[in-house]
Amino acid sequence: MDISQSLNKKIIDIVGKDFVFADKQDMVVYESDGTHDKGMPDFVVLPRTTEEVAKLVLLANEFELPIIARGSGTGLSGGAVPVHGGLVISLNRMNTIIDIDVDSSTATVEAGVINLEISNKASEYGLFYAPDPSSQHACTIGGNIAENSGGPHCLAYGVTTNHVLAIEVVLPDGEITWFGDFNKEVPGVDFRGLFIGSEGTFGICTKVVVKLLQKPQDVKTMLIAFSSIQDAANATTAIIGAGIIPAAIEMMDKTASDAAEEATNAGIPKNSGAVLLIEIEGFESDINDQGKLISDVIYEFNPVDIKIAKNDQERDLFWKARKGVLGALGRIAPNYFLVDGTVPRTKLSAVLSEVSTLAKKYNLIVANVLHAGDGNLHPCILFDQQTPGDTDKALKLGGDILKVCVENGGVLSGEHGIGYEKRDYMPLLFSEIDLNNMKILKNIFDPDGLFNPGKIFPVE
Amino acid sequence: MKIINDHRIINTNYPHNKNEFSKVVKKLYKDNQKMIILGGGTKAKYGNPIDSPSHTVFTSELNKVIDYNPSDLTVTVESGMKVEFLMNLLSENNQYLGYILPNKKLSSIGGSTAYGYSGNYRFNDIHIRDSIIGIEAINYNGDFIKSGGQVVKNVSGYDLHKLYIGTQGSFGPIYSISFKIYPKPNYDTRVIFDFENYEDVLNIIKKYLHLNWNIPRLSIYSTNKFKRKLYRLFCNISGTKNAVDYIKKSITKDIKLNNGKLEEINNNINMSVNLDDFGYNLKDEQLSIRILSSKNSDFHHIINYFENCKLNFQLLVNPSIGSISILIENNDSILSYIDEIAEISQLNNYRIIIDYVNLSLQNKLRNKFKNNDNQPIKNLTALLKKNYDPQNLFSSGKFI
Ligand SMILES: Cc1cc2nc3c(=O)[nH]c(=O)nc-3n(C[C@H](O)[C@H](O)[C@H](O)COP(=O)(O)OP(=O)(O)OC[C@H]3O[C@@H](n4cnc5c(N)ncnc54)[C@H](O)[C@@H]3O)c2cc1C
Repeated sequence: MDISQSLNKKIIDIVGKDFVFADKQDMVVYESDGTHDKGMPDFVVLPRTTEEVAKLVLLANEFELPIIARGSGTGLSGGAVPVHGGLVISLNRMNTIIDIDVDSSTATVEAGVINLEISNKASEYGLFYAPDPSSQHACTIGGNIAENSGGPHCLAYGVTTNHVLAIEVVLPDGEITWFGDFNKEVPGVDFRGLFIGSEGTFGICTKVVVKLLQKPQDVKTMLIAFSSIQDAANATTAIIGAGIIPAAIEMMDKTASDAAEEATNAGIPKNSGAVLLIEIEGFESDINDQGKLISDVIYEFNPVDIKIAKNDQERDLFWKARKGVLGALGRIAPNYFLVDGTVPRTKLSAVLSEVSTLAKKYNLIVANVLHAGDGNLHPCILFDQQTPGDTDKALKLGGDILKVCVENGGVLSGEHGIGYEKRDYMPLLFSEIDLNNMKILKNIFDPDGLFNPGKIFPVE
Repeated sequence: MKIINDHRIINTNYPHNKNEFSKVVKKLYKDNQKMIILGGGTKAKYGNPIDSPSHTVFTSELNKVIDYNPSDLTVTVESGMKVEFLMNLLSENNQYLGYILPNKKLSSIGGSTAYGYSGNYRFNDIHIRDSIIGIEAINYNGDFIKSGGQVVKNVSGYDLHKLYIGTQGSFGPIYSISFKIYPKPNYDTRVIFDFENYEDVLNIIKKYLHLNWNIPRLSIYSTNKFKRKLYRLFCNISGTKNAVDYIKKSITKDIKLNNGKLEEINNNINMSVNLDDFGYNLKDEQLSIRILSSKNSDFHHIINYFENCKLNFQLLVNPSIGSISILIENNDSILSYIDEIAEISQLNNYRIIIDYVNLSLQNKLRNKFKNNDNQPIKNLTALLKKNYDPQNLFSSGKFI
């Protein structure tokens, strides 16, 4: 029996033969995530329990095999791509909502639970889980933790780290432990905080305790069209500057909003320069006050059309258009490369102008989709990988956009992580000393470097 | 040898700028000298004493604003800045941190960060661990290490800055800190209710706990100084005028149904209890501890214990934070009481933090409260210390 066969047998002993894949054709879907990066794993395994995960980790250690945790593979930085092969541990079977504790407004769930399912279950008690990535119908809470994911409503509520109280983790040496507590001010190292956003390089998260919030009494959703993207960006900055924090301020430029409208018929005004989707929540009286304030502020930026969702169906449709926009862009070009920079909110307008100049320089279409309230921009570079040279051009343009973000006081990733795709841009933001100090941290958690190798750090 | 705040001090340093700060740290480290970084020095008596005489590096001259554009809702300041200065600066633009750091006149931002406690007033459960978005620290070579940034969403590399929050300087000095900040709510009103029965006040808490956007403080105060058994509920309601009025009306109605009594309604109450600084500015004979629950606890075991013991106490239960702060007048048999409190806490899986204690008691209490961290956490913590402070010179013995 060769090594691979003996390993296969040992894996089967842990999880059973139905939950291991070793044939290439069975593993094709595990080769990539939401990006174009690819890497064929040696094995894909779907454990059911934390103990099985721990045994698999020990086994991988024994065979010095890279370990890549995987949720739903919706990641947008190549994070779950096994670029050095290895054992892909897919958490999809660990998908039980273990407990909803109404008294303490918390949910305990397994890491493979889909984000939206937490809110669906919690809604039976009038509660919801706030971080809502646009991929929330598909992505897992484990993936959200690894990427510290955000979403439209994170403007008011904060991102994943603000809502996760504790996580059960299988460490790279196979130990199982909990990080975090109900109380976030326990003195000592905040391992919970360090783990969130570590992109699967510190261990595998197997269970999570999240905070739930009470559903707001009332919601108002507005779709506001502007004649230019600059007006929309400046209106965003002005709203925040006026001390108003709506639940969400999302932006789509003309290319994006036209595509979204074609796909959904949500009623987005056509041919406007950009639209803002603004949602306000709270007590009924608050909402009216805030709505009025927002109308006053945006008035200065020449809105060309304002629509207010008349009912839940219309609201859902507005959101469907926004959350499905990446898919809708497939109508324009078969491939996209999504950039994920964050800049200080006051820099939005200037950075978007530079993005537009760069798009012209590279002769590529860029559709801008933004979590505008947070300064998180997603220029979506559209291209056709069948056209020779276009993929390279798109990647180069993406790199140039990230440079612009950093030059404007921003960062390389707001919510998708560095992963494989952006690792070589890290020196734009961090000095060698900064990177070395991050490597020290990686080495403390994972001295053998088996967890998700080839991610975050630039190739030396 | 000098004694500052009970610490045995070899020498004091006051760097005036970023480079001086790094030079001082580098030199002391190279010379194998233990050091403690102090901002206001107000928390020096908190936690364990440092284990041997140390050099002190005061950050008080490092008090500049590095970056503040109110429309970005972020601010970056040097670590020696006083909390009050930052609060006032933000306030001028109708902004705030979302919480009120205790002892604002004397505490520095760096010290508050290293201590990691955000006080008992919290808008939307925001606390210092989550509101810090970036830190520039100094390592043992005197190099600056940057982590995070000045933007509110960021997944670029590891969040190394989390290492410096709540670890009392154990991994090295902090030079600057960036915060996510918030617009101040238009109204912030205090309402006070009295209850004779703990269960009744808990009913109110249960009903309103989830509204921490609008109720940033929901604390129960009790003391043996009251002539009779009494639980005083302090409620801060904030938001728009409409929201505040709505909640105040609703809560007042519920209070009546739960046998409570409106004590005062006043936007400017001169309170006998200083809630923001509860557990701070104490006299030498006072001891202040904080008990933290790992679940959403009502702490009734602790309440029962204090009501039936002979100690002079004041306590403040903060259910939304999962903590209870207790101020005890030191008495001769304090150590046996402490043993009992430690036992109850152990049984209920509570964790005890000594917030303030005088030196003579500090050493005696050192090992009283076992910290129930599991082995992997202990191992990882030890490895972090070994790697980021190989000679064990930063805040030695203070927390690890
Ligand atoms: C259409 C679309 C819209 C999106 N919108 C948003 C958005 O609004 N906001 C946002 O933040 N992101 C968004 N994303 C990105 C993506 O959905 C998130 O990053 C999500 O958190 C990934 O979850 P996943 O389960 O698919 O993880 P995967 O893609 O499977 O993995 C992502 C990373 O997490 C690691 N990982 C996964 N599970 C675990 C675990 N249990 N323990 C440790 N590490 C683990 C992997 O190793 C990998 O590094 C979007 C993606 C798409 C395709």
